[in-house]
Amino acid sequence: MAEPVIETGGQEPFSSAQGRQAPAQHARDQAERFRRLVDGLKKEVGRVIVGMDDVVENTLIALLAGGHVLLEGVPGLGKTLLVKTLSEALDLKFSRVQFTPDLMPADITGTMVLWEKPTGEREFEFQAGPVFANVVLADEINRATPKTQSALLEAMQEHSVTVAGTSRRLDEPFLVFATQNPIEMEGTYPLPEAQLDRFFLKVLVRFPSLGELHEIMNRTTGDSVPHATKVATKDEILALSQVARQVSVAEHVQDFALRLVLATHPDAEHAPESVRRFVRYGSSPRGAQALILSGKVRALIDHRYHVSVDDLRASALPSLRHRLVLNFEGRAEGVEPDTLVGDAMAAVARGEQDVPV
Amino acid sequence: MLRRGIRALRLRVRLLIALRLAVAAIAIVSGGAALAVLVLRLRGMWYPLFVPEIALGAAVVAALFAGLMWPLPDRLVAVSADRRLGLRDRIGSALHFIRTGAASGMAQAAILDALGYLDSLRPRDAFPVRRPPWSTPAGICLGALLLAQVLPIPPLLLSQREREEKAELRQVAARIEPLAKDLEEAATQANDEEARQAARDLKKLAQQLQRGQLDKKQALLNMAELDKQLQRLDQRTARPKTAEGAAQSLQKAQQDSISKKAADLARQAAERGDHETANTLQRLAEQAKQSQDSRELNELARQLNEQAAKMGASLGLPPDVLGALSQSLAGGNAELSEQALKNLAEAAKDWPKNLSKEQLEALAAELKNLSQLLQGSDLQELTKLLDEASECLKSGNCDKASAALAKAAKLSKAGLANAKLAAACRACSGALGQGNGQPQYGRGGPATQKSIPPNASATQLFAPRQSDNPGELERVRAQINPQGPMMSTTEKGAPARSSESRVPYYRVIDDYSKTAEEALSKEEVPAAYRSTVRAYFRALQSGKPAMRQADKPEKK
Repeated sequence: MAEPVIETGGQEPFSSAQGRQAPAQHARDQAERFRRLVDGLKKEVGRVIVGMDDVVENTLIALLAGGHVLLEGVPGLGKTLLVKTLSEALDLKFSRVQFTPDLMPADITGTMVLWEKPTGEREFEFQAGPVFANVVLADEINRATPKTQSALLEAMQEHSVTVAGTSRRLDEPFLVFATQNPIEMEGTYPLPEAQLDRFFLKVLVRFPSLGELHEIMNRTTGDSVPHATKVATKDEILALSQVARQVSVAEHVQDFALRLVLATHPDAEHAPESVRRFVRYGSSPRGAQALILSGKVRALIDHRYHVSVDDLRASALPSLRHRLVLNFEGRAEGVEPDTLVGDAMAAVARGEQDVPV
Repeated sequence: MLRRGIRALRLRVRLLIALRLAVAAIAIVSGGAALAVLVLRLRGMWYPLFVPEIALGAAVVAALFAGLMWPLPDRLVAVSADRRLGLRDRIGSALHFIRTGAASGMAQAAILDALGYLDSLRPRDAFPVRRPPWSTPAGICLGALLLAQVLPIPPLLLSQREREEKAELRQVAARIEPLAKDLEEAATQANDEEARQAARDLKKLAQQLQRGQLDKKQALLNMAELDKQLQRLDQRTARPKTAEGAAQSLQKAQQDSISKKAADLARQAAERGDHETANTLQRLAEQAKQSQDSRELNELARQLNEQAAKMGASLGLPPDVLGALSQSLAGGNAELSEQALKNLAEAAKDWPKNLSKEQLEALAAELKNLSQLLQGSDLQELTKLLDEASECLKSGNCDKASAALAKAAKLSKAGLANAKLAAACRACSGALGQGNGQPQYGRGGPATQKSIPPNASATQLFAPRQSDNPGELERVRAQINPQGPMMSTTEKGAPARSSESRVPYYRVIDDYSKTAEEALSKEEVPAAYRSTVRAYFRALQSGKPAMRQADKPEKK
């Protein structure tokens, strides 16, 4: 196809002859590398994890967007295995923390330990906690006390840990995959809403189907257990995260994202009736950030260089479901946040302009 | 290139919007117009026939214009096209990046990606033609409008009075229809386009009255209009006297001539002592006096000639060729009269050999008599030529007489056709006059003093009988006493003297009403009586019954 001339509304026209195609070609190359990495990752993860395509995809999106993920599902679905496999495929340092009610903050962040040198001198030495890894799996985060939770959450937010007055930067990329068990709620400390907001995505892990179960049995009860091989290094991941951030967003697409976030607020003009009735507080601007960043990654995966409204629709549930604070009536009625996010999307879609034909 | 693509998309969208608006306009305007037409027709109110169609056309044009000028931002068109084609905001995003001058590699790649899709994009793929949402109501309302204008109002929706009026109008239609056919025939024979048009209009009026498509007011207006047309034709083609009358006079003259000559010959035979011949001639004279048939008269004339020849007397009677001519004139038969004149023209060449001088003079006198009888009738040209032939015969120039008669033969057909046309016009005009009357009040005839009590309320005028002698039309003008104020009293009752109007009521009412209005506007009527005058003329115009049972005239 001959390269078309792009009219730039008064600015100098753009044509390959003048060498302005170079940035576009460079972007295309980067996008191609991005897609190859994602496809490789999916393939490697797919060798170990059966099904869970949307979970895998959302997890990859969060990883490439540099966000933390909250995984919710009953025990034994492969949440830990998924995270571990990802770390293996990306050659990232992985650590796992099993949260229990007696877990202390120092167990997360590390602590100063008195140590005797061979010379006999004693000094305090910092013993890094499990948080000093690239990928941290916080299992059953809702079982630990709020104090312990906050230690991890601070690390998630700041990408640094302060112990004994000294801040220590965490190695990039730093990703936390927290899990929650929806059935054991007794004796737990559900994360406060303000803390939930720090998670980029909340992904629901569903029970596998019969076919998937068969495949799981075949893979895990045989004489060999598959492992993932390295696909990319952490530097490549960091670079491609930057590529993802370069994807452009048009004004009307961004407008959709922001109107969707606003529609989750009960006092918003275009909020649906269900939101007005059951929601106490809607999503924060972090929800919009999550929408846009997820959309950018999805666009690249879909061989596009711009974010579309469909990308935002696909990212809406994982990005917003954990950011809605239900009121008493909502909790009493057992209203699902997914339903409310769906209603908000429908309300925004109704308000979209279209030609009258 | 992107803008060009979006322009094409925008034009497509505007055309589709224009189509939708036009369909909606058709539905709304035709629905409203159908309702309005129905209400107006039920109330018997007049409305200009093509106004609903003109309004509809104007609404459609306005809707098309509005559609083509519909404001459509580029972004909206691009986003809509993306949505409909599943392009995932490619075009909309590319448009945004170009507008904002986004220079990043990703933005440029996105633009190039969008242009690649736009290249193969057809506007009709994004915005196909779909049935507009108002199309069914538009069809229904349009159909309703056409039906409301064309179909007659069902009798169920009419009042008793309206149904009676429709029945009367159907009777008028039954009278008019055959007359319209006759008029058309006469017009075709006379080759008169104006008369043919009048016949067609009359037929159409009869059809409309038969189908109940016109209310009484509209019917009266149409009849008045047609009557004016027929009067114009009448004045153009007709003379007060018809050829039929002339033929009758000719026949009378022939009767007198034969009986007189037969009586003279009978006297001569009796004086000679030939009583048998005298009796025969007397019988001939009697028969001639009583005969009404021109063929019989011709036969009597031939018998008289034979008797005269036996007696050796000269009658000076012309041969009976004039009988055929008068017979065809009487019957209005154009072909026969033409043939008769042709025969006369042929025979005229041999008259110098076959007829004596006295006979030629007698024949010239008969031709002169015939032309005098035809004076002032529809056959002016024929009259002149007969006169010319008569003068030629008198001077002994039979060839010239033959030529004049041959010319007369050519003109007689057209002349008779005109006469027939005039008669048909008068018949139609008469029928319209009857239809314009108020038959429920009686079948013509004026009110007489006897039938109306002295203190009766105002009596409605009757439509007068159609007069046999139409007379000259006179315009009656209302006048105020020129000498100043006049005494006035309010009288309600019949006039002191009854008289028979010779002018149909519907022909004068407009003039009377106009003159009354002028007088009222110039304040020539005392203030106290203005409302009475207005009410009076309004009642005449509306044709509403104002007479009580006691006031109706006795039937003759």
